[in-house]
Amino acid sequence: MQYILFFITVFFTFPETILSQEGVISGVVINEKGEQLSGAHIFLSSANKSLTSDDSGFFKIRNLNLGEHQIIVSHLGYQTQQKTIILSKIEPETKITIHLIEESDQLNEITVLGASKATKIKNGTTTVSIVEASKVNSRSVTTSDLLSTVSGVQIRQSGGVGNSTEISIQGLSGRQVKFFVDGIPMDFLYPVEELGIGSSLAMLPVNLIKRMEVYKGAVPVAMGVDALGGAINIVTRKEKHDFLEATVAHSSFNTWKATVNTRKVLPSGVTAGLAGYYTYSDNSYTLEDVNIVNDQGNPESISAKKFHDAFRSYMIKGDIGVINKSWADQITLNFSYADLYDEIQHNFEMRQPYGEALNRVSTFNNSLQYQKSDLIKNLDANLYFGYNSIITRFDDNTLNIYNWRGEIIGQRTSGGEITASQNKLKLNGENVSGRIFLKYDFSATSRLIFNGVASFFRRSGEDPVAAAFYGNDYYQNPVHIHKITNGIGLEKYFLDKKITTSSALKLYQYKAKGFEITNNEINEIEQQKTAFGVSQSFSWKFVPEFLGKLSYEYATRLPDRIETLGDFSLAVAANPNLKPERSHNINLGSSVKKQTWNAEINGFFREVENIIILQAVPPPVLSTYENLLKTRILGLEGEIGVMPLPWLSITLNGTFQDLRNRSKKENSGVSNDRYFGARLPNKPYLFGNSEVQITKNNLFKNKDKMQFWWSTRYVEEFFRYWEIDGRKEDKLVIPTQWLHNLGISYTGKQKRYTLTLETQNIFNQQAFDNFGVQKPGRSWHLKLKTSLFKS
Amino acid sequence: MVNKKKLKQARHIIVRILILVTISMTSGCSSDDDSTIPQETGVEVNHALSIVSGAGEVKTTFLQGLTDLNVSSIDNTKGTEVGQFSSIYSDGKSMFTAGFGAPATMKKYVFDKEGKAILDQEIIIPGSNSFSSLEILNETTGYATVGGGISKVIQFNPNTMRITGEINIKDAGDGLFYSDMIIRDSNLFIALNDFGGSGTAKVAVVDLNTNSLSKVITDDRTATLFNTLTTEIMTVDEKGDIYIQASGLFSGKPSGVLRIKAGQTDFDTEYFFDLKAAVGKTCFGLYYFKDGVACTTVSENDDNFFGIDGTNPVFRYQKIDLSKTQDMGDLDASLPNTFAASRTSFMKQISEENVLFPIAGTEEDALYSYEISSGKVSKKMKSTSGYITGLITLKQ
Repeated sequence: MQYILFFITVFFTFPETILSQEGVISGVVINEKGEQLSGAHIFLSSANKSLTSDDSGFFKIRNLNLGEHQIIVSHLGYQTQQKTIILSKIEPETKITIHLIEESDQLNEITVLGASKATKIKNGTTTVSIVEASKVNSRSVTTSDLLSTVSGVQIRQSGGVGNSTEISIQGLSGRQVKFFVDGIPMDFLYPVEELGIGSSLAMLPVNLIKRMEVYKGAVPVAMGVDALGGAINIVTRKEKHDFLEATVAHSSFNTWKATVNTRKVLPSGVTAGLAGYYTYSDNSYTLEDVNIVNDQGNPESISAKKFHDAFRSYMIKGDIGVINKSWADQITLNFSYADLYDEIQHNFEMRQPYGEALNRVSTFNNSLQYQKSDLIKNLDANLYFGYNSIITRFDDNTLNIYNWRGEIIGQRTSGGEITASQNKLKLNGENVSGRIFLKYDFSATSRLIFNGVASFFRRSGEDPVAAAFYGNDYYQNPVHIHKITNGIGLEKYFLDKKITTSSALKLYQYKAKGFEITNNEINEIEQQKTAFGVSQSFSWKFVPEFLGKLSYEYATRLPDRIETLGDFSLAVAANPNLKPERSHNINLGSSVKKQTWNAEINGFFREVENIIILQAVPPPVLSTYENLLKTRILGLEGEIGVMPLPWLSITLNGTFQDLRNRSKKENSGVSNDRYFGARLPNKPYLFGNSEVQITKNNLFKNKDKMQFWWSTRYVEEFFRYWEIDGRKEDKLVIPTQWLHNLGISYTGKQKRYTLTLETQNIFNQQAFDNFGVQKPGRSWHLKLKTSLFKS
Repeated sequence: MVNKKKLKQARHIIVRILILVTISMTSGCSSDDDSTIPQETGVEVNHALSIVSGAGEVKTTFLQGLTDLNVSSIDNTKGTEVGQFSSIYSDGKSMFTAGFGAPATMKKYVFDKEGKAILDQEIIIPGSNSFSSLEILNETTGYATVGGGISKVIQFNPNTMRITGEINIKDAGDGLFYSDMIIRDSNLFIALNDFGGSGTAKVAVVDLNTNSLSKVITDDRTATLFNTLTTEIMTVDEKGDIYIQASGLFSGKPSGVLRIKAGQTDFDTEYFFDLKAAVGKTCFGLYYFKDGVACTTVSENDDNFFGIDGTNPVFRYQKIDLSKTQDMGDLDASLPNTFAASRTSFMKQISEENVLFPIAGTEEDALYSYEISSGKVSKKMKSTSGYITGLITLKQ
């Protein structure tokens, strides 16, 4: 701990050794006709600064180091321009004129802008992977599919579209990894807590996403929650120009997906956008080796199609606001309504089929966002205020018993398919949240960042069916949670910005009020916790193509509402004595970027303690979360991208992670130290991805494009239970998976349309992420994307 | 691809034929020589035990056969991984498991010549959550109940592993959990658990002559006939009297023991052993030794009855005199505490004089021996791979 405090002290108080004189670049952006262009995006890559030109096309960037600067200027409908400017002691200020040439194909411009932002993030001190959704939004991939292509990220799904999903980043998973949408914690907006991340990601189609930022290890201050070792920020599309894009896709298992996304920007700066999606799937893929039972109770193995796994979700969202005003770069009022219907086909190891149990969700999100650079001199502000409502319903009220053929083979005398009480549960969750993000450049080499997130959540519900069973409608009792997360960070640059350091301190406060049931009596319980986390990270650009990074984070995750207060609907009892999960995270990595190839390698270390684990007991006795196990994770991940020919690109990544138990008997629930040092079971330890892509431009017509790709995903087999237990030759394993996907797409002139045909799991191999739970076999996908742009 | 699939199918068919031939040959041999040693010989398997191994939330059961019990230490290196928490039972020849988890699945294991437990056949009850109780009467008759709102007793043939009948017990009530069972005369007594809801102890009496529910008997002096698959709460003495232990959990009623006298099918209104009054604490389980002397486990702290705090086992084995309704104190004062309700608690009489029982503790998991005549307790074997949840004898 002393070392951490030392680092923070040093970097918060480090003298301004480098800064001797400030430079200034100012200028004007004009088009070919000499007209001044307002709203042009100006990015100074060397200083990591960006701004937009004012109503007269002018801009000014202060507090710059002397030396060479790269300035990139882009604007809707114009080709991006890049210039090199040198500021010297003799001439610390310079004025320039940027001429932009009109570009008819604006999609290029969008991509360039995205790449710039991505590069900026990549060049930061954090170990991060960027997934550019725009590059694959003509494909039939899901958000989960995209995440699974990232090195160090492991996605485990329990079926097809919308099914439960667990995401791990460098060995940490579940609640330890946090999700954001545009910097706002995802559980404010989507039913992450109620239905898990799988359903929530299914409510974010790739065509509505710009990119995903996967933070591994130290999580930036801007991500304001208590992540233990990783966070994923999904950035939605926010074009500032007119466009209309629509997609429709049809896939195997009666899967339909459609999206529409449009925006209008008026000359006055008023902008309005509308987006929506519809997803439906029967998920009716064939399961192999499931049991049906004869009259004598003996099982017979059959193949059967899933019959009660339909998933349907739709959303409509809109926004209205103004951009590029002197008082606001952007101010937007957003609203959205989404609906989800999810049939539950089976229990967690796919041993028992269900025929009627289902989840439904409705979400209403309303928010106001304000963004301004130089609100006062050198201070950028980004504010958010939101009111969100999440209504979840869980129906489990049939006495029918189903077999894997979907036939009713009997009836229970009481209880539902999943719960003993039967349920017709409706939970109303309301959340009011706010975020203040401030960035202050107090010199050309120092930047202070503050991020504060506050949320107030209330949930209550009703379940008349369960009330009849228990004699009391316990769900009517409200649950309140107040959370405040404050983070402050300091970024500093040295040696002509070759070295960047970032120091951060985060403070988490949590107050929850709920209830527990003891001997059929309702008792109110309250919890309050405070914790902190710190991080220190460095990046060093040895030469322009070579970047090294090192980061350390002391991360904390507070026990959440369910863990500490319990949840009657989940048969979980309260445990007020839970300690926060804590982790020491170290990442060390480097990357090389050349013209025809790039490579990246990262080593990671995690020492996690007080891991919160559900100690399950058979219902109706309530289970409890407990602090169990310490874990050490050591791993290495790498990625190589090669473009040997202009039309050929090859990418390959791989991850090895060794998760070892570091608990002795006192906190692992056993009577000896047998499991100390043993590899954690049921966790993949070796996995990777590859893709070969061939792109041919001007094949049939000028400016058309044909693409072909072959991608693979490999996961080495791993044990379901502890490796050191039992007879080795017949231990239960999740078998090796090596799945192959093929696709071809044709994009017409002007990128007005793209037609894509894809097949996933082409060799129709049985695929498992979780023991016994089969994923879909071979599937076919046809997708049409059409885009209309302002002329 | 098609050819590959056909080849695979053909291979499966051949393998199945070979298995069928092997099974029919081995069962033929077994009946010819009437051996009590299960199936193939090689390693002589006279006992089998189950061990639950693992740390954190990842734990499962391992099964293994033993030639004799005179070993000081046991581990799971030769154990067959089951993938479920499972209790084990025996008809004297084979090992049967009832696993926790839906659907309720009962498996029959045989031992190969290396002493390895091999899955032979299984019975599955669709729509159920888990087996609640299992009673094997002999090699051809067994009874089982399941949880999950399926109100029936399953009658099965342990030899053929076929369901042979069902007894509807819906009239015993809805929303009940079925606990221990015991067969006496031509009646099957099923402990009914409503987790204290009714404030009474309930037992369903099933007439095995007609395979029908005769009645449900209740007694409000105690409540909550709670047990786990490994734990017994019903026992019968030399006279044929049935004793039923109730924990009183969630009801405000005391732990106690009720009696159904020999030849009767009602609670003995003149008998009640108030365990709470006798030992001052909540009790769990009932194991009969001899001459009215039995054993239960006593919870020293009900807040950790279900073992949520994995560092503080709260149960102690306690001797009680059922006929005199008296507490006889610790089974042995030197015994460590055990996690009886959450991990394991059973007693297995392996000879006229000796009973074996497990300790699942924080320092050691072990099997102890209790000598009935002298009351002497000694450690029989320790387990270095987890706690022992079951022990059966295959050769008697």
